[in-house]
Amino acid sequence: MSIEINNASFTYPNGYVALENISVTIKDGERVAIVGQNGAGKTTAVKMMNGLNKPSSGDVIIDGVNTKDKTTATIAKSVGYVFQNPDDQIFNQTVRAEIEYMPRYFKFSEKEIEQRVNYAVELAGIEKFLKINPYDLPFPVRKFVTIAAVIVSKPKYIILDEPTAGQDKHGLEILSKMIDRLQKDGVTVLTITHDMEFAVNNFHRIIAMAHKNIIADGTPQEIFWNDKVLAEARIKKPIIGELAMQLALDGNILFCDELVAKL
Amino acid sequence: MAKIELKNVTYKYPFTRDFALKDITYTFNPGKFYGIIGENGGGKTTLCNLIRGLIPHFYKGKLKGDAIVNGIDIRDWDLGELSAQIGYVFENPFTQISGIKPTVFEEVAMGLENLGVPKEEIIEKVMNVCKLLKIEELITNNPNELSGGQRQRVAFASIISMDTEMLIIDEPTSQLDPEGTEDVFEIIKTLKRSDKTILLVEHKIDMIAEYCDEIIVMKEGGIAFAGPTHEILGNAQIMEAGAMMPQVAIFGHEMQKAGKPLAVIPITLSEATAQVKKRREDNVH
Amino acid sequence: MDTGFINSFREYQKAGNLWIDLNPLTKLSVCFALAFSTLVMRDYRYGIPLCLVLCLVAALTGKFKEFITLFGRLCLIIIIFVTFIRQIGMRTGNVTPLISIFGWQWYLESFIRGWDTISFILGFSGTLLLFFTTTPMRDLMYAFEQKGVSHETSFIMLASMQNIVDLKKASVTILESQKSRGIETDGNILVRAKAFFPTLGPLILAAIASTEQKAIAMDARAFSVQRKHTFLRELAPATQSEKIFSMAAWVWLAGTIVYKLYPFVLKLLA
Ligand SMILES: Nc1ncnc2c1ncn2[C@@H]1O[C@H](COP(=O)(O)OP(=O)(O)OP(=O)(O)O)[C@@H](O)[C@H]1O
Ligand SMILES: Nc1ncnc2c1ncn2[C@@H]1O[C@H](COP(=O)(O)OP(=O)(O)OP(=O)(O)O)[C@@H](O)[C@H]1O
Ligand SMILES: [Mg+2]
Ligand SMILES: [Mg+2]
Repeated sequence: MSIEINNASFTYPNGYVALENISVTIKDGERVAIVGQNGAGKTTAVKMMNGLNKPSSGDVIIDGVNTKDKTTATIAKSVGYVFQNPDDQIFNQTVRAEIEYMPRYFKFSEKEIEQRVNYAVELAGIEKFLKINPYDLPFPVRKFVTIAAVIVSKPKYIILDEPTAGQDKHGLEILSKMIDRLQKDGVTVLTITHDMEFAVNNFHRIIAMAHKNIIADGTPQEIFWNDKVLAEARIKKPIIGELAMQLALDGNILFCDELVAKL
Repeated sequence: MAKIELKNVTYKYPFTRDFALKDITYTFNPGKFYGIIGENGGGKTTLCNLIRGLIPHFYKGKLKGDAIVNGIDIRDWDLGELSAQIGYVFENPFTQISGIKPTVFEEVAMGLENLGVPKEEIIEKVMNVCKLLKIEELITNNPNELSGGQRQRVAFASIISMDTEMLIIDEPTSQLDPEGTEDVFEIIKTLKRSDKTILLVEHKIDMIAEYCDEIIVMKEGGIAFAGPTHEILGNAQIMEAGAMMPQVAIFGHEMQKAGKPLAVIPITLSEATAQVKKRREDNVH
Repeated sequence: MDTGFINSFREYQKAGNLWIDLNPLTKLSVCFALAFSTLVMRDYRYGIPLCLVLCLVAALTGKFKEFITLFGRLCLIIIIFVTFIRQIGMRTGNVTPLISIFGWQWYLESFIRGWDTISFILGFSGTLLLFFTTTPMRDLMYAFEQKGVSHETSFIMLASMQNIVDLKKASVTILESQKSRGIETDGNILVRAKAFFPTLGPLILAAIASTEQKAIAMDARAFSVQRKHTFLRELAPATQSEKIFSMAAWVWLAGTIVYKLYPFVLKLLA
């Protein structure tokens, strides 16, 4: 069971080619971070996984089924996507209505709705905002609202597009816990992020993208101690790694405890 | 040279129960670079809205106390005039794009057009700013057909091109890749050299540590800590106020716990490197 | 950096097309004169050739596809509608039955008699349509501002046009958002309607919220500062020959009036 992209390209309606022949497989139960320069094609690529973007050539295969002739709605039942810009996703007048939208639309039982909403709201840590109009919420909280609105539909795969943007310490902790919990509950999580500390602290597999393609795919150490990858993807070592490098320490250090132990 | 004095400022958004700003007294001096940090919902953006005059001119609500910008009370400022003096980069880059210009170049030029800057000068400035932000390849693109980070660059470029005396910059790097983030901080640093007053809201604490003169930590609508960067960021108490500490400062504290203390808690990479090197040398002797 | 593009701002904007590069006000004036002439003539022998000319101009400006998709639909609707109205009361007299749709009998005469009306409506709206497909709104506003219309007024007009575009974009956004939550929005009209109608309310509220946002965004760009604005993009003022062209169009209109009135005046004199 997996999400598989085979040799796929994508061209926007204005003629711009945003992805060229990318291939990648995300296996069930994995958790993966995608990093890389602005405009590399990260958002374009993940939108291809849930059918919002249809590849102009190549295939997207979800759990063994080619999605060529499937509608976005069908694909989205197993692959949930949280938009980069929360305003692209929110359209209801209260946080509760936004989160309940999907289960209500499909006329789930009240009990089921309550269960799902409670689960999603707890994971996103937005209990106290349920009655508020999402438009009056600060950007990072709005982001959590959109995450909850996807969790509530219980997809097998969840793709988060830059959930770390604008988050404070507490927000990052919630995210971190949420990803743990989702994984425990059998959900595969894919996250795009520009927060390198967050990426190394929460993911064992990191995909680096640059100019319309995937340029590296591996462990945090393999990605962040490869200068060529760093330069091409316009990313940086987490600051602890940077410090280790300045001190000419070996062992591809990325974490604080490693560094303290080494000195 | 912009000076801002806040005296016992309290503010509540319309139709809300809690105060978003609580009894804030603070003076921002001309030519300095202030970093505003703190937890989500702490009131950072609200403070920006106030100084820029959106409170009370756009957001009504209940405002008490005095906010004085260049000697004039914020309530008495003409918003148009203020917009020519204070540039404001929004927290949400997606709402900063006007949507009425068909290309990135014209979008970035719009503020300068409104300010009546001569055309040749506009072209020069826009070209410069686009180069600084590495969006020169995108100048003919439609601003609505860009990636998130590209839009944030355009939003930032659109405001700094206006070259105002003071800048309020609310999380300008939230969608940027690490190199873009560094570019933005470098740009702000050069702006500071031209004696602008800069207020920067940012969660990326390691960057704040490298660049800012003064730090303000906000929590629950009030100022929890304020002072010179070094004093504030090395202090573990700011974590209790919901702010992050620089990674290297955390490292410093961890070294202490492990019985290998550094002479001073570092807050920047270069300090940390120097401290560790010094410790190694001391141990050799 | 695209220097050709940047340099284009250093001179008057030119598309390299005779019609497109006319000053928007010249175009507006000519189009109005022509539109009113169809109103005066109300004759298919005048209206139909004019429509063909409009299509030709659209083709010469490279906007044929844009023009014809709208104009074609308009033609279809107007032709059916007018014929429909005209054939009411056609049951008696010397009529030739044509076809019967759901029991409605359509007569040949209704088509013939409708042509004058059809050609006038199409000629009139077609001319205005041609104007709007070949003139960007902002160019028109620029021309108005040059004539002393205030920056605010022109912005409000521009922004209201923009609102229509935005609204369309917002509806696409909401549909995408629904899709990505597993709600079917593609397919037959029933599926689409079922997904679309619940979003109408949110759509309007989103539009209101975005108008507010836009006002703040414009303010951040010093929009309301009381100074003389610069125009990065400039259009050439109307030349002497353009003025003559525009005048000729009005003389033409006057000509059609005289033509129509002439028999009437003769009768009066007699
Ligand atoms: N709607 C669109 N039409 C045309 N081109 C687009 C559109 N959206 C994005 N692009 C272009 O496609 C490329 C990839 O965009 P994408 O949004 O996938 O980047 P990204 O990796 O997610 O970047 P970021 O980190 O800035 O979000 C960019 O160069 C962008 O300009
Ligand atoms: N437009 C608004 N209407 C009503 N309440 C608002 C509005 N904007 C902000 N608030 C409330 O005011 C408080 C302060 O919010 P503010 O956006 O200033 O926080 P912040 O420090 O900028 O947080 P963040 O790090 O998330 O950007 C919050 O409780 C928020 O919910
Ligand atoms: Mg993106
Ligand atoms: Mg904020």
